Amino acid sequence: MSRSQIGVISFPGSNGDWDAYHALVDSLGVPVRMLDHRERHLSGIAALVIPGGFSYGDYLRCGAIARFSPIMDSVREFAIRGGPILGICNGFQILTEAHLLPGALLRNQRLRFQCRWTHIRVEQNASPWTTGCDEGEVLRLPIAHGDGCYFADSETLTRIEDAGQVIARYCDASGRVTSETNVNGSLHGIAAVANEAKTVVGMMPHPERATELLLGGDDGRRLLRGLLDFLSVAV
Amino acid sequence: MAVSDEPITSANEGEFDWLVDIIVTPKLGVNDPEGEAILHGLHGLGHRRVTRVRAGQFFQVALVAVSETDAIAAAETMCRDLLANPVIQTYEIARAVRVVQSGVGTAVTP
Repeated sequence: MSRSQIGVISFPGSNGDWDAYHALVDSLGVPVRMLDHRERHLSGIAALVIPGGFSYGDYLRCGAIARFSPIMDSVREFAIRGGPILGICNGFQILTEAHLLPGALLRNQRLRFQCRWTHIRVEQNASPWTTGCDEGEVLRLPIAHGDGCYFADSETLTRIEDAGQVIARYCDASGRVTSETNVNGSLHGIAAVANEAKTVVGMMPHPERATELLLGGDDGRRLLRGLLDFLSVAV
Repeated sequence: MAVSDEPITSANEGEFDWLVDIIVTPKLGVNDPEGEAILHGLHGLGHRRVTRVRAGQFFQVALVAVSETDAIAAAETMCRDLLANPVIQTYEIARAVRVVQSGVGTAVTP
């Protein structure tokens, strides 16, 4: 069977699912299968996107309830088999709650919902999701979240820094990471992290909302296009 | 999931209804911007003697258990499974109360 489709999972309360569909299908020309959170099988899926939104109304903690959706057992197996998974915003929160990524996302430091364009510096391109970028490359992407303050205990933080699991940090247009560029108080300015294998990536910025100039920017394409190379190998 | 107006109990012979109060708070060392904002609010209202506020969550879980120990152990498992995220939060079982027919019965504080 061809493994050329990207699966996009819709949970109750997801709102970035069709943005992801549009970005992948219309901007990148990748075949997509929309997956309902009640589905249990991922056959024919080469990579997964867990989109942004407010799954289950963000009740209890962001992403905490989505973790128990029927599809998540298959997502866990997919991750263990080395399948590439990208969690965007709420998708990032779901992946940390599911313990597929280290750390957690707290309420933004100054309690303000941040909806704006920001810059991130790609720290690591040894992930299927960032092979299209150079290390040190600066991308301009939108963010829209109230709970994006990355936290991990100091031991975990040291471990993921040493292992190259920090995928991107908030920075200015020239790539400098400072306290001013840290939009939500994340430790070490972390905007995106990966698992040990670097196949599962979570990020707060929305590459799928920046894939064409009409949307205000197309740096999201540069991020997502790395997946095209991965897919051409996997097919 | 079916929603029922019936009282939530499935207590059999030897089992009892319990109410367990659970408090989840951010770990010390984890940023608590909500607690800090509330602290500022209290100071703004003149409550100058307040030195710190930690904001958390309260859950009251009704469950069936054979004993207080059983009820508390079940609640602790629920905390580890779902109610608290061990990366950022700690939990505390504040009390377990056995419910008798006329309402809440004797409180058993662990």
